[in-house]
Amino acid sequence: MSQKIVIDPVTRVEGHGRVTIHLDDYGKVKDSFFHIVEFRGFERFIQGHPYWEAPVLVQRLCGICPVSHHLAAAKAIDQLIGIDPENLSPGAGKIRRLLHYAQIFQSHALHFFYLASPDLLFGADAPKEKRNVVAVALEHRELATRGILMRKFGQEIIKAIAGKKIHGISAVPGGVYKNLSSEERMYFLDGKSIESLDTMIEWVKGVLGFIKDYHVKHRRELDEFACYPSGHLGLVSEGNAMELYHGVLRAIDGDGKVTLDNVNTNHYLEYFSEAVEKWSYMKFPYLKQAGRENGWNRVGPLARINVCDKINTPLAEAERQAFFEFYGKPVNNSTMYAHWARLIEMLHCAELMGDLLRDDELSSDDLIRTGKKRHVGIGIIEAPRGTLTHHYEIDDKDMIVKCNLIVSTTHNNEAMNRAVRWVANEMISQKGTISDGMLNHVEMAIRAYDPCLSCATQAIGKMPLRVELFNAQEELIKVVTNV
Amino acid sequence: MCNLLLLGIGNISRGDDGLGWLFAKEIEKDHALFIEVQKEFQLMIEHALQITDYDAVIIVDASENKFEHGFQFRKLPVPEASNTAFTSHVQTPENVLFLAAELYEHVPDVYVMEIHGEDWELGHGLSKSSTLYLQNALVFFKSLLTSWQPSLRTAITHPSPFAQRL
Repeated sequence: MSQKIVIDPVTRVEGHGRVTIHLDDYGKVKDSFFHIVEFRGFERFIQGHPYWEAPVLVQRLCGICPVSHHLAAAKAIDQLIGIDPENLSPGAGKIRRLLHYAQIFQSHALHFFYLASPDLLFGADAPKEKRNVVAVALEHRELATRGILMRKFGQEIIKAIAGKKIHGISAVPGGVYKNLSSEERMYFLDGKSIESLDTMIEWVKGVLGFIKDYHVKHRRELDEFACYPSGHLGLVSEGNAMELYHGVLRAIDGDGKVTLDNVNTNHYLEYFSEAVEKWSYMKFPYLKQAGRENGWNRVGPLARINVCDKINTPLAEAERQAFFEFYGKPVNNSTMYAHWARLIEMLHCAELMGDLLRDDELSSDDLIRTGKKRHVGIGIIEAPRGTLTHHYEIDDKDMIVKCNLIVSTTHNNEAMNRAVRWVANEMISQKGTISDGMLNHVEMAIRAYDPCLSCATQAIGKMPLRVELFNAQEELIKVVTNV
Repeated sequence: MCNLLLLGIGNISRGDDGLGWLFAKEIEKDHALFIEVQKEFQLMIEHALQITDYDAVIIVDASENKFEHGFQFRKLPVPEASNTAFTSHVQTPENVLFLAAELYEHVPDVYVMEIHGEDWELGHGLSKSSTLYLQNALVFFKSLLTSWQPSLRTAITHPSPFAQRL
């Protein structure tokens, strides 16, 4: 009897998603889809608002990465008042970068310690009661408490700059509204009130030691799991160095051939198009020159480490070199290596935060610049999950008349669908039975992309996990739930 | 005076899911000097660390559960085991308390205010019924706050007579 398997919602990803796997009469996978079932409508909702509201309003897109939306919108709004990134005052530019690096640091800590570590520590086939962060806290106390404090460190920097951990305000058109005093900077360096920046670096190095050891022990499965060729997209700065706040767009294909090089972010529309599918609210971006079928790219930590030629901080650069030396190929298409790449980025951000916290320009009073009004503003940054685009157009009365957002998870949409298809074909097809472990492998493949689907409703009593099996006649034949 | 934290949980962009935030906002208006108020999208593992800084914590959230006056206020016993199963990073109040006890060996008094919600759609405001339930919960809680320490500690076994009149 042919069956349809539904994983709804996918757990341990931000927001809600749904996976359906369609089997034929012989238990072979016919097809699979990763559906995005939430729709935000922000692009339409924000039209008619004055442009200066955008950096505040768009933060409501997400409770996990509001800073990324805040900064991408701010970069676009800067252009609307005639200020390009290189024309920000040095102090304002550095405040924004510190905010951005703190956001990536705490978001990566959230993902690694809370969402990914249960899979790594206990394995995908562990009892479902164990594959969660509470089990990590109980059995790996030091890892859990450090994870909490590392996330807290990033959040405290965000709070110091933006006033609040979530939905604070720092950027204003043309700059930032406040600086960081030397006392505020010292708070994060001296280790008297909270763990110091140097401690953060040591702890990240420790976790990197763990992940390298884990890869040595599980090399074959990590190399093979959800490994498929794809494009990789990210920002780079001079010399193709990894860039997280502002640079030029670069993309390579699965073999390392450059498909997009040195592209000014303001020109992204000349190179990208977006496809739609009837089974998902989320679009599918692709490079026009390569077409819908071949032009899609992964974004995020794995893509960023693939598209750059170096990292401009010494500890992270050494780790990048070790990463590729271990893998043995110039481009890494193995999905699970995203966790390792994510930790290297944490180290990079910690080093960058240290440089900035010791920089007196963070305390400068020269914070806002003005210029001549324009009608189009485009801001692209590397959010924790990948390349994030905010594009606004305004009328003569300063009201937003057009908005285009391409969030990181949208870029990864095709990649996540390919990952689900890989797992379905390799681990579920014609196996004769469907275990929780098999289904968790599907989720592991998606989780590696740290997808941000939407801020879904999470009231008491909601968020049940339901795994539903349907036969060919769409009759429900099996339900697995956690409530 | 006790060191008191109120955590309002929810998302005001999603109909009745905003109940926790709206409750927190209302308490913040009149009682900010007396009670620290914080609004969050969801409870997460770091809250286990945060609550150890307080003597008492009140977690307010929308709920699918139905109650006589549209809300329920109860003190959480420290769980003997985690209730986390195949779930996400989002933590229940019980798990946060459990983790605080396990990881930090400090257990504040934790109370949960559940307010019934029905409409979770993006872009919707508070439903008519939940607007009433929110007011009921606020009246109850504000009366409790006037002499909050003893009242909080007996809230479950001795519900406020004020709530009975609602």
